[in-house]
Amino acid sequence: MQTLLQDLRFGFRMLRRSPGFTVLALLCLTLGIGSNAAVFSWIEGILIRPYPLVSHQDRMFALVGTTRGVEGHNGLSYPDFVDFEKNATLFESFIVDKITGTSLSVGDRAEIASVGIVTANYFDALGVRPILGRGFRSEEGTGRNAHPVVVISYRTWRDRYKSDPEIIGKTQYLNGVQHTIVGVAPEKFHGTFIGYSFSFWVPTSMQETFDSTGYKLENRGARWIEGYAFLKPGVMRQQAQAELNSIAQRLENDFPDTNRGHEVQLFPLWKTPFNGAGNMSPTLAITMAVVFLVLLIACANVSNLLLARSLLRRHEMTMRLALGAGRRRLVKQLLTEGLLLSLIAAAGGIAVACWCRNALVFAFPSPAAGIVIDYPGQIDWRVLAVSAGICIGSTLLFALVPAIHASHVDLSSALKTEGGGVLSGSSRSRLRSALVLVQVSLSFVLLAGTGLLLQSLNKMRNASPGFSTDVIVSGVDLFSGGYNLERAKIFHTQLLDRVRTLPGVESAALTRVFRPRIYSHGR
Amino acid sequence: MTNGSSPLIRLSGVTKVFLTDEVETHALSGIHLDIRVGEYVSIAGPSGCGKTTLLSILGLLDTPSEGSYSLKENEVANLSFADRARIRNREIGFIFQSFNLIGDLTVFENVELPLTYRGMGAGERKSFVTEALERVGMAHRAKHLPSQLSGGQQQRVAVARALAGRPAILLADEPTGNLDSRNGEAVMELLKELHAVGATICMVTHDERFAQHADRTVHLFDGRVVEDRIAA
Repeated sequence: MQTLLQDLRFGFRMLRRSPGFTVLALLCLTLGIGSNAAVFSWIEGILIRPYPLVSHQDRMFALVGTTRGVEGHNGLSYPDFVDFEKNATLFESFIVDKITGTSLSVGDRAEIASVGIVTANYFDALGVRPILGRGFRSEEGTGRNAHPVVVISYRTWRDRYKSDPEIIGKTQYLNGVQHTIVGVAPEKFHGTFIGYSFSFWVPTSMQETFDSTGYKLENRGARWIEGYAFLKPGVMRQQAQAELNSIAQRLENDFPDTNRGHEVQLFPLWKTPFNGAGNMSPTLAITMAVVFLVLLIACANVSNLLLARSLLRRHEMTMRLALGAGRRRLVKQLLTEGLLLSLIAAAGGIAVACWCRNALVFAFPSPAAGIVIDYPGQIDWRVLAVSAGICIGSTLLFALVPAIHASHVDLSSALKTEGGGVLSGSSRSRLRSALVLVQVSLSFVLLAGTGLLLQSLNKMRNASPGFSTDVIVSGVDLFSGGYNLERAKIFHTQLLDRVRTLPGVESAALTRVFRPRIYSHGR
Repeated sequence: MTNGSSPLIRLSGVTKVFLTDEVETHALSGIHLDIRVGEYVSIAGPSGCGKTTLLSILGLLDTPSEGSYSLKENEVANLSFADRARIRNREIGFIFQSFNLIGDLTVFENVELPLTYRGMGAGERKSFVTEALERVGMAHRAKHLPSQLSGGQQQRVAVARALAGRPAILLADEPTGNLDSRNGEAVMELLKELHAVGATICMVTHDERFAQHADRTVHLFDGRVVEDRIAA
C-alpha cells in the first residue's frame, strides 16, 4: 500500500513536471475512454436498462405476436391478451403499451402528441407511482370509451401546464374527446417505448377514440396490441415461453378462424422488435466497435508518447535498477503512473459521457413538433464499472510495452555511458515503427467502421414504412376540429379526389399510422 | 558467514569479454582479488584498463564471462537478475562519478529509495535516512531537490544514499571526477571518516592523489592486476 502511495505521489509529480506530455496524453485518453463510456451509457440506457424507474426490469420481456412460418411480427388481439393474462401461471403481470398519436386541442390550434394506450394495471405493474394524482383504476380498463381519463407526463405537466399543482381533475381534449387528468407521471418516467417519450397515457377502454380504424377490444382477429410481461421471480424465459406456447395452442384450437398459426414470443427488452430497440441494437454495436477503435488508437498514441518519454527517463530507470529495484517493481511503478493517467482521463471521460448521454437524439430529429424523441444514456454503477475496466485495460495497452522495455536495461553500459543504452536504437525504432503501423492500420479500420456507422444511421433515419417515401407527405387530423368518423371519411374522400386532379400528381392515398419514423397522414 | 579470516569479496579467475560486431574485447583477464571487511581498497589504472568493468562486476551490475565471484562466501557470479537486484540493494552501496541522483525526488526521497525497494517500514526508513544524512552533514537539506544543491552537496547526498542501507561494502566509481578540487577533497575526507568507523570501501580512481587515501591500491593494466600494494 505504501509502495502504491509512493508511486502515485511520484506519478503526480511526473505529470506536473511535464505538462505538455500530460495534456496530450490526457486528451487522447479522455477522448478514447469518454467515447466508450458514452456509447456504453447509451447501450445501458437504451438496450439493457431502458426504463430506470421500472422495478424488476430483469424480469420484463416484450410480448410479441408472430405467425408460424412467416417472418416478422404482428400484434396480439385484446381478447387473446386477456386470455393469456388469465391462464398464465408463471407470470406476475401483463401490460399493454400501444403507441399512437393524438391531436391535442390548444385553444384554436391542434398539436400532435404521443399517447400510450395502456392497460389499467400499467403503472402498478411497472412500479411507477405518479407524483400527483393516481394511475388507472382496474375498472377504467374496460367499457367502450367509458373512461376518458388520462395520466400526463412530467414534461407535459411542466411545459404545457406550467407545473400547475392543481392539475388533477382538470380536463384536456384529446382527439376531440374531453379527458380528465387523473395523474402526473414522475420526471424520469417517459413510458415504455424505446425512442419516444410519451406525453399522455390513456386506458385501453379508450382505444376506439385513438384508433380511427374502429373498436377492437372484442375483436380476436384485430392484432394491434404491443405489450410486456413480467415473469415471476425465479422463472426462466424458456419455461414462460413454453407456457405461452401451450396457451396459444389452446386458443388456436378454440378459435381456429382467427388464431390459426398465431403464436406469442417473449423477447428480451434489447431485442424488442416493435420499438427503437430492434433498430438501435446493430447501430449501437457498430458505434461500440468504432469507439473501441478510437480507444485503441488513443492507446497507441499514448504508448508512443510514453516510449518517447522513457528516453528522457532512462537515466532514472537505470539508477532505480542499480539501487535494487526488481524489474517487476519497475514495471509496477510505470503501470501505476499509467493508471494514474487513465484514472484522470476516465474521470474526464465520465464527464464527457454525462455530457453526451442525450446526444443521440441529435441523430434522430423529431418528426413533428410535440413528438419527443428519447434515446437517453444512463450513467450508473455498471457504466462506471465498465469505464474502470476500460481504464485498466487501456493502461495495460498503452503502458505495459514501454514499461517492460524500460525495465530491460543493460545496467553496466547504461551507467558507463551515463544515459545511453536503455534500449538499442534499432530496438526502439522497431517498436515505434510497430506502434505507428498499428495506428495506421487501426485508422483504416476506423474509417471503414465510421462509414458503416453512417450508413446504418442513415438507414435508420430513412427506415422504410413499407411504401415509397419519394412523395409529399402532409399531416391532417380532423378530430380536434370536431369531426366525427363519418364526416372525416367524407372529407378525406373529397381531399383525395382533389389532390389526384392536381397537375404532376401520379397517385395519392391515405393512411393513419403512428410509428417511429413512419408517422404520416397521406401522400 | 563472514569472519575475520575469510574475505568479504573473493574474485577468482574473473574474465570479461565483450562481443561487438564479431570483435572480442577482453576487458578483464583472470582477475584474482580478495577484499576483507573494513578494508579501503582503491583500484587504479589508466583509462580503458578495465577499472569500471571490474567495479560493475563487483557491484553485480554485470556478470563475468568466466570465473567465480563470492560475496560473504556466497557464489553470486551467475545469479538471476532479480537475485542480483536483491543483493545489490542489501549488500552494496554505490557512489557514482556523476552522483546519479533522481532529479524529481527530494534529497530525503533519493536517500530513502533503496530502502523502499527493501520493503522497509516508513518509520524505520525515516530513521535510517535521517542518520545517513546527518553523517554526511546534509540533514538540513532533506527537502531540497538535487538541482538546488552544489556538486559537492549532491555527492554527499549520493554517499548518504549509499550508506543508508548499511551495506557490506561501498563501491565508489571516480567519486571526485565531477568535482572541483576543494569539493573532491571534502568527499575523500568523508570516505576516510566512514572507513575510520568501519566501512569497507572499494574505490575506482585514476587520480593518484586520491588513490593514496586508501590503505591498499590495486593497479590494473589491460584488464590484468599488475600490482596490489598495501600502503605503508
